[in-house]
Amino acid sequence: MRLTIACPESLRDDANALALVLGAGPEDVATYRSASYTDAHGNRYVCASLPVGPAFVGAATSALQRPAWDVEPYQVNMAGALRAQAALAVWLGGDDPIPQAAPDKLTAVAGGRGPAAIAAMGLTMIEVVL
Amino acid sequence: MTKITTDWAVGDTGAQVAAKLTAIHDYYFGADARSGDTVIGDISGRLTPLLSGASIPAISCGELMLTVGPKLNALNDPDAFILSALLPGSTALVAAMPSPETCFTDTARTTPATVGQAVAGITDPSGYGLHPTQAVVASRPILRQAGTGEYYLEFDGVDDFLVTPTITPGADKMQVFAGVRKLTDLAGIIVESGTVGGGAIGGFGFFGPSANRPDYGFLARGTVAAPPALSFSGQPAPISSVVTGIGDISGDAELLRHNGVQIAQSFADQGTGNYSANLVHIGMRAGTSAPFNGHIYSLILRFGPNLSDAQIAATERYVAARTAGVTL
Repeated sequence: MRLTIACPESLRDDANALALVLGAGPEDVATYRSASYTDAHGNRYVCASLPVGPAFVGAATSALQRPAWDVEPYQVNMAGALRAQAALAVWLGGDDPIPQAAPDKLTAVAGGRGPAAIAAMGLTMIEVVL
Repeated sequence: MTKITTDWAVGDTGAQVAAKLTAIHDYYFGADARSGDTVIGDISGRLTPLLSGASIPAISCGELMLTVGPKLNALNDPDAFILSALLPGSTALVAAMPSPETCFTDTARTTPATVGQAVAGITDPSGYGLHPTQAVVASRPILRQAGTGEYYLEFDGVDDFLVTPTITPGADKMQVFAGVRKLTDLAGIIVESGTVGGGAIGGFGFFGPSANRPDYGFLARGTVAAPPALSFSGQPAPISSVVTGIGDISGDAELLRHNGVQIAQSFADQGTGNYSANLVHIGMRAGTSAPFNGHIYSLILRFGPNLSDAQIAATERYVAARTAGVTL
């Protein structure tokens, strides 16, 4: 299953803290990088998309544990990870409409391809001319 | 990729050699024959008549083996062969040719990836050791296999990319070959140097597409701030292609080829200097913008002297052979 997450720019650090808790190692602090998407109101978002196993969503919504690799001095901001978890809105399919990205939510949509999920959340990529 | 099983023997007659070469001509690569650092002769010039079916006795098997033996032996492994042909004269060379043998689920490249798994590292077989990797779990492309057998990396068009170690080109000439399938016409990076590619002195960028439009693009430059970016429009997604970019700073040449045909060029002044030492990103601009939404079947980036037309064409055929939906 692919999970695509829209993170408001203001929640980026907290979302990266959550990625450190749920990910594989300290490099995951760079999961959410640059705000490349915008909603209809001009709010900016950072997006990530990845295949996840069946246990991922459960782990993301359960009590968070500091990763074993994180020893003192701690790198993971657990308070930030908890704030990101509290902002998490997960859509796993079904009859409910796909939630729209919001500046106070970490919106995650399961299924489909990443760009389609981002569009379904009401976001468009900020145009780049290379 | 299927390996060629042609065997070579010193006792082969010219006709036998010709027949074997013809049988494997898709993998034939014209290049200089070398003895150490000394160029002995142009293989393409010597073998072309054989491949065309004329003048079979023009060279003897013994002579052939003597002059081009190492390359002919490499014909048993096309992946190695194409690299051995591109390696001479190169100052840097990186190849990303996805398969279960080259892709790994860890950045140390110890655990092979299977089809469907995220790729954290891919072995660069060039000998330069410029292995592209991705440490961030969410940003790893997926190893896939087309229905016709070709392997590719699937970049999700959101945050997937790979990055090489710092490449120090030490040259003012470069060539980049890519077998790709782009799935969108939103700006995306196939491969690019540094943080802004051709926006910086000594930078380059290879785009699929170059803006929100149906094209492929290429930009490479020296010290001149605003050389023209080449664009080949009229290529709406989804489309599979073999695209080639060629840059020559001192020669003031910038070429873009598509499926073996040169379709855009500039000979404007590019300034001076070599290409800059940089990280090279595959699939996204510096990991921050312009994510490539599509498949990369094969990517070869070479710095060093200009290649001959025969070398360019042969490399494009090789890349095409690894790219589903493209026949050259």
